[in-house]
Amino acid sequence: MSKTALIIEDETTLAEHLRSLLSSVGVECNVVHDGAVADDVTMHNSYDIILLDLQLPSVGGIELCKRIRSRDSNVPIIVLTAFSDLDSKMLAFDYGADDFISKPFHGIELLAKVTVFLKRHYRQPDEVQTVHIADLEIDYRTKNVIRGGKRISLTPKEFSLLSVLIEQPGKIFSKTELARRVWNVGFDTGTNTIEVYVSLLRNKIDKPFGVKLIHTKPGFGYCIAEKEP
Amino acid sequence: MTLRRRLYLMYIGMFTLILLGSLLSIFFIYKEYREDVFYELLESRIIMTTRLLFEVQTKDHNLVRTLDEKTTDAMFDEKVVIFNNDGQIVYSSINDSSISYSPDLLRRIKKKGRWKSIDGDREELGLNYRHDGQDYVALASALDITGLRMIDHLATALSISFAAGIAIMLVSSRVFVSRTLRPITNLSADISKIGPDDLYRRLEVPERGDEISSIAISFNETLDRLTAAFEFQSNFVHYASHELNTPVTVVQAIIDRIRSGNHSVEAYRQAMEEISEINERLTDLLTSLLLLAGLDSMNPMRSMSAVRMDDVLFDVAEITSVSHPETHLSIDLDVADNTMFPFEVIGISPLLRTAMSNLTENGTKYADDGNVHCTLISDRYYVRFRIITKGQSIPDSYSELIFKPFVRFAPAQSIRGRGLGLAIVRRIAEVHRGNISYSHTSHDENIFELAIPARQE
Repeated sequence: MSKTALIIEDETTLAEHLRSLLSSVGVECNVVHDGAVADDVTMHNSYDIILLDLQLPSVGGIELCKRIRSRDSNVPIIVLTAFSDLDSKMLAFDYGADDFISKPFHGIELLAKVTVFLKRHYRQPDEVQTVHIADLEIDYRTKNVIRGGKRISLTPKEFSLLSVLIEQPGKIFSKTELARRVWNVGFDTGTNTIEVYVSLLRNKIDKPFGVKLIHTKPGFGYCIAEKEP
Repeated sequence: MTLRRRLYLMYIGMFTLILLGSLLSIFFIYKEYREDVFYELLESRIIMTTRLLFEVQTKDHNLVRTLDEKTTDAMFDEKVVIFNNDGQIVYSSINDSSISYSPDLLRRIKKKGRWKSIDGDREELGLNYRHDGQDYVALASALDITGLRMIDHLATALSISFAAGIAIMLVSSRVFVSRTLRPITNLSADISKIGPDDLYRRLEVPERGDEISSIAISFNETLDRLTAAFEFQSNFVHYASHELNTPVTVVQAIIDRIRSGNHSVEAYRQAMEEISEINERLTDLLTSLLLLAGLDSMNPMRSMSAVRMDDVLFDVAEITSVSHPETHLSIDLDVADNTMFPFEVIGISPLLRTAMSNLTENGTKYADDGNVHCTLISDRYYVRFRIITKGQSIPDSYSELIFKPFVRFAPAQSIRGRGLGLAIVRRIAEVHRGNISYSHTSHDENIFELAIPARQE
């Protein structure tokens, strides 16, 4: 299934240039030039990524960013702006933007960011919403992790690591496999990166609760299980 | 109100209060003392009279009166009256003075045991006295002529002292305030001589090492920073205009060349590519210049939040791996044992991302073997991001300069860039109260380290 992008840009020439750039990497694009129209479109459709200009007619980019984020907490939003002041860009971040690109920009820079966000953004099928192991619960829809009734805050990478481990409880995942699944093949994560992340995850998932769920099989890797395998 | 006047009034006010307070204290302490001594005399007079009456068992009241009068420490216009339990006078000293009393007063003295009062200049004392199971009340009254005269003299002496003190203080305060403010007056005069055309002039720092010396040193340091900022501004505009104007001129030259005469399709294509390349360079330059200007003008009170630097690093690494597939990027993480919040800083996420991205981008440009090694170390005080690459080292004389805008080390001239990336990183580090440094090893390893203070609570 090809990825979809919504381009919200009032400058038609630039909007078409963006459509052509994204199409070149196989992304299906929908282009709108007006804030109010974009608000309506995002209300009835979901996308894998949104490119949002800050200066828009009808509804401004910041307000639109806020509205989209309130409806969809996962879709990556990349802000495009010709404003030189940092404060307006930071404001967009405060309202849920994931990244910004200043105009003028290089096509390759934009494509690199879009590719990374598309790779990262994964729309969870509706039927898989929550997974349990012992008193640990993961809600994929809201990205909430709860153990013993207590909500645990995880970073995206910690969440990914937990998600991979919990896919098959009891299965030993090697460090190489975890690095490949959680991180990226485009760069090397030293073995200690996995160790550090497992330790960080243990500090949040296991340490405050008596029973250990994350186990180490020395020389093989890590697994998540109610009892030590 | 001028500082001189304020200091003057403050000095006068404080001195007057202290002097007045001291003199009034002396006066009232002495007045209290006189009263105590006089009441003690009245009490001893009552005790002596009652002893003569009851303990010596004399029935001759005239003898007692005579003894009273002839006593050496007789008081002026004294009067002693003794009452029995029924309120009848059992003894009264001879003189014309009288003591006003009432049955109610006698009852109160009997109940409390002691009573004292002042009636005009006369001081009165009442005591309850018990003899042979009978209660007696003795009242004594007299004038302390000597004591009151001494109090009058004391009041006069203290008033003269106060007036003299104020007069001396008025003169001395003028001298004191003038001498105190003279260095400030001189400093102010020196500062007023420094104009916009004379920014290199500095204040003379007094050798006393006092507060005025500190002000002069601080002012000179401020002038140093102002001068540096002024020079930086001038150089910045100078270099920025050069960097912006040159490519625009080149583009114009290419357009002029293409316009003149007929050219082959290949010539047009080449011209388009040249213009496209120059436009890309201009885009880089414009983005960096705007970011640098934005960092200088951003709201310093802007709130910061907790940012996980490892998350930012992985974002940067992912984008770099896509935009520079030819570079081999490796990442190592390390957390010290006593770290409270691993990899967490208080900051502005997109700015930290820009800083880490610029350093990584630099690594991809200058790594001789195409290997860029990133390390993120978290300890209790800092989160340190290190970029290690192999390549020609930057001489020590350049190691500070490379963080200034438009400064590029000679071997870097052949590599695309305009010398703004590291200046942006330094400014972002400053915004986060962190720092950026460069070092190199004997194995041709170049190390850039961005250190941001760790989250503490």
